[in-house]
Amino acid sequence: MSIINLLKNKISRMRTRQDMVVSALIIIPIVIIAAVSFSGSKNSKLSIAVVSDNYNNIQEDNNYKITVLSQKLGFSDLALGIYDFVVKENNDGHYTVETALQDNVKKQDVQKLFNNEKISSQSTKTESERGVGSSLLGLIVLFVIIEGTTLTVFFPNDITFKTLKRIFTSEVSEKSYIIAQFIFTFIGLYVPTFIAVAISKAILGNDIGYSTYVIALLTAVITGLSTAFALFMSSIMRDNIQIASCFIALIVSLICGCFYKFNSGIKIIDSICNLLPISSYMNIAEGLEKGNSLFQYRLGFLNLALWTIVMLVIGVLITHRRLKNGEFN
Amino acid sequence: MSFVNIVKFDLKNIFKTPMLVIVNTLEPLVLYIILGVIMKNKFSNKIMSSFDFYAVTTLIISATMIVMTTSNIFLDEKVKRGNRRVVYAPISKGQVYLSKLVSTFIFAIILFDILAFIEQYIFKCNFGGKNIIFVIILIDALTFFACSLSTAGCCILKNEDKVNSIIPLITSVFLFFSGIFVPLGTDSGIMKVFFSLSPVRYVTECSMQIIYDNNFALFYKTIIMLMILSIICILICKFTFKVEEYVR
Amino acid sequence: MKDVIIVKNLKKNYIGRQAVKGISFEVHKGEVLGLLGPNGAGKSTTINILANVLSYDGGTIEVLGHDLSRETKAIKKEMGIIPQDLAIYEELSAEENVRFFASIYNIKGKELDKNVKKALESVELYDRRNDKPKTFSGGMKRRLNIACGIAHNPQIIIMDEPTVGIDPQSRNHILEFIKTLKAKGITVIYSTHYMEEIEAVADRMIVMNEGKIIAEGTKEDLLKKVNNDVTYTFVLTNLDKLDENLILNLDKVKKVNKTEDLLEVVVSETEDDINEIVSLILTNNCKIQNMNRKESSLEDIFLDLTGRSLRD
Repeated sequence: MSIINLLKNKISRMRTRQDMVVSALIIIPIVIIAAVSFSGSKNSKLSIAVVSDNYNNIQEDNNYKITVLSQKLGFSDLALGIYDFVVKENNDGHYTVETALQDNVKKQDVQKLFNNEKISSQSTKTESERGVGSSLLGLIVLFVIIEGTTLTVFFPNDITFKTLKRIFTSEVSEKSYIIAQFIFTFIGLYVPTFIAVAISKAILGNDIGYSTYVIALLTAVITGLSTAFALFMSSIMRDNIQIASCFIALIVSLICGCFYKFNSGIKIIDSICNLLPISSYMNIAEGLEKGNSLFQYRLGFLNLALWTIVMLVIGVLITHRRLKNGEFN
Repeated sequence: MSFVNIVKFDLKNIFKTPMLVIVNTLEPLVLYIILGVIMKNKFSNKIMSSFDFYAVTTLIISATMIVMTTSNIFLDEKVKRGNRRVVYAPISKGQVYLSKLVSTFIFAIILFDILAFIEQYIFKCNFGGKNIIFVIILIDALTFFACSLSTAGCCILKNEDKVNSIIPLITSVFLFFSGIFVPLGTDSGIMKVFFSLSPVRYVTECSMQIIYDNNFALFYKTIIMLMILSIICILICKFTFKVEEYVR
Repeated sequence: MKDVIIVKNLKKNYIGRQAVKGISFEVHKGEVLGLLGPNGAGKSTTINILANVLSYDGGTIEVLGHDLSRETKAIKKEMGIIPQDLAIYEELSAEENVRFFASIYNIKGKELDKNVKKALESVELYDRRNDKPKTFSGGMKRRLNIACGIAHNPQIIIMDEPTVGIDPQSRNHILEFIKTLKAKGITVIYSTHYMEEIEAVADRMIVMNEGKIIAEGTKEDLLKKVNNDVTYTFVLTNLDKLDENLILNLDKVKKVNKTEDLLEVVVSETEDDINEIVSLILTNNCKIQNMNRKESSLEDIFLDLTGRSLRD
C-alpha cells in the first residue's frame, strides 16, 4: 500500500518536471531512431576516393562506392571517415592506397582491385560480426543509463528537501521506498525505450534479427540494470550524482564494447571486462541476433540478474545506514 | 572589481569540488587510454595512431561535456544558498550568470590546455606540433560555447536537475554526430543533415585538417560560428534570467 | 499519571564527542513537555532518536509500551513529527502534500479525505488547499509543515522548533493550536529556544545542556531549584552621590550594579523587603524617579544553570 502511495507521489511530482517527460519521451526516442539510421547505413559500401585524370581505367565494383577526384585529398578526410580509402595513380600506372580507419586486409583488397589483381576476400562495410540489432542496442545503452539517473532524481531530491526524513518517520521502510523508486524509474525508462526500439524494428524490418518479444526482453534487461545502477549511485553519492553516473556509464560502455567490439589482447583486462554486466548484455544481444537460444546465455542472464540485485540490496543497506547515522536529518 | 572577485570565488568553489575536478581531468585521460587501446587495431596507418586520434577527440568530448560543471556551479542547491547573497550585492544581473560562465570556462581551459600539452609533449601524441596552439584555441572556443549553452539552459530552466536532464542529451547528440564515433562519410540523407547541424563536427574536422594537412581553411569559420552561437546563448541568458526567481 | 514515553539512560555518540550522555526522562500522557537548551545541547538528537531516524548507542526507550528498538512500526503509527526543516513538496499543492503524508500511514478512502480536511482546517490553510507552498509565506509553510505531521491523528506529536523564522501572528496561531491538541489529550513534546513559548504552553520542561538533563519539572519546580532572586531597578537623580557599597553592605542585598543612570539591586526573594534600601537611597539625597521589580525568568534560570544564555 505504501509503495502505491509513494508511486502516486512521484507521478504527481512529474507534473512540474516536464524536462523528464521531454527527455524520456522525446529526446531518447529521437536518439534511438537516429542510431537506427546509423545502424542501417553501416551496411553500405566502403567509399573510395580516386585521385586520377583517367577515369576509364577504373573498374566498378559492387562492394565499393568509388568517387573520382582531380585534386589531392588531405589525410584528415581519411581520419574523419569521409572516405575509407584514397587511391592515387602513380606515374608508372600503378595505384597506391592510403587509409586511416580500415585494417590492412581491406587495404590490400582495394590495392588488388585497382591493380587488377585477384582479390582473395570481399569486404563490406560491416566492421565486426555484430548485427544491426545488437549494434543498435549497444548504441542506446549509454543513453538508457544516463536517462535512468535522470528519472531517479526524486530520491536525492527527497534527501535534499528533508521529505525523506518525514517519509521514514512513518511506517514506510527503506526497502519500500527503494522498491517504489525502482518501479517508477523502470516504467518511465522502459516504455519509451521499448516503443522507440520497436519503431526502429518497423523501419529496419528484418535487418534487426530479433522478434518483438526478444526486443521486449532485452530492453527490460538493460532497463532493469540501469535502474538498479541509478538507485545504487543515488544511495552512495551525496551530490554530483549525474556527473559521476555519466562518467561511469561512458567508461563502462566503451570497455564493454557497446560501440565497437574489441579484444584488448591482455587477458586480465578482458577477464575484468567480461565480468561486467554490460559485456554479458552485449554477448546475449549478439548471440540472440545470430539465432542462438536464450538458454545458451543463462550464465549471462544470471550475471545481469546478480548485478541488478546486488546493486539494489547495497542501495537499501546504504540508505538504511545513512538514515540511522542521521544523514537525512 | 566585484565581478573579478565573484569569478575568483566561483573558481575556488569548482576546484574544491572533488568530483568536478576528477571528471574533468580523469575522464579525458581515462577515455584517451581506453579508446587508444580498444581501437589500436583499427588504425592501420603510420600517420595517425589510435592514441593520436583519441588524444584530440577526448578533449573535444570533455569540452562538450563541461555543460554539467556549469550547471552545478550555478544551480546546485548547496552552492545556490550562498550564491543568493551575491545577488544582494551592487552588481548587475548579467554579472550573476556571466561569473558562472567565465569561472567554468577558466577552470576548463586550464585543465584541458595542460592535458593537451602533456599529451603532445609527454605522451608524444600528435596535436599538430607547432600548430597545437590552434587546436587548443578550437577546443577552448568549443568549451566557451558549451559553457554558454549550459548557462542559457540554467537561466531558462532554473533547476539543476532539469538542466542536467536536457542539456547533456543535446550535447551528446552533437558528439554523436561529430565524426568521433560515427564516420562523417556515412552515406545516409538524414545522417548528413545531423552532421551539418553539430558544431562539434566542425571543431573535429578543423582540428584534423590543421594537424594532418596543415590546412586552416575552416579555422576562422569554426571560431566565428562558435562565437556567434555563444553570443546567442548569452543573449538568451540576458532575456530569461530573473533575479527574483534565482533567490527564491 | 500514565507515561507514554519512558527513556532510560539514553546515549548517543558521534565521532569525537558524546551528543547525549545517558539521559533519562518520562513523558506523561496528555501533557505538553517543553525541551529547552542552547544549540548543541542534544535536543534535536534526542528528538531524532525518538522519531526513529537516528540510531542510539545505549539505553532503552519505551513508547506506548513498545520497545523502540524492536517495535518501530507500532510506534511510528502513533507518532507525528514536525521537523525543524520544512519537509514539504513545494511543487505539490497543500492538499496533495497532506494527503500524501497521511496516506503513508495506511489511511485511505473517506477517512483520508476527512483527516486531510481536518488537518488543513486546524492550521487554517483549508482555503489555500489547492495552492502550492512556493506561493506561501514562511508562516504558512510552517503551518503546512504541521498539518503534514498531524493528519494521521497521532497520539504523540514531537515538534522541533516549529516557530523558527515566522511572524508573531503565525506563531500565536501555532501556540493556540498546541493548546487545542492538549485539550484533546494528545501528548506533545515541544523543543524550542524561546522561553515565552515554553511558558505559554508547557506543563513541564526539561532543560538540556551538553548532552545532559540539568533540570526537569514545572517552572515553579525549576525556580525552587535555583536562586530565585528579585532584581530592583531604580532610576535616581544624584546617583553619582550614592556609594553603592552602602547598599551592598545590607544583609539582604546580594548584588549591586550602578551604571550612569540606573541602580540595580538584587535581593533574595525570601528577603524581599526594600524599605531599608529605599531609606538608604533617600538619606543620600537621591530622588527615586522610577522603580522596577523583576523576578527571575526562565532565561535567568537557564543562565544560572548553564552559565550561558539560551541563544548562544
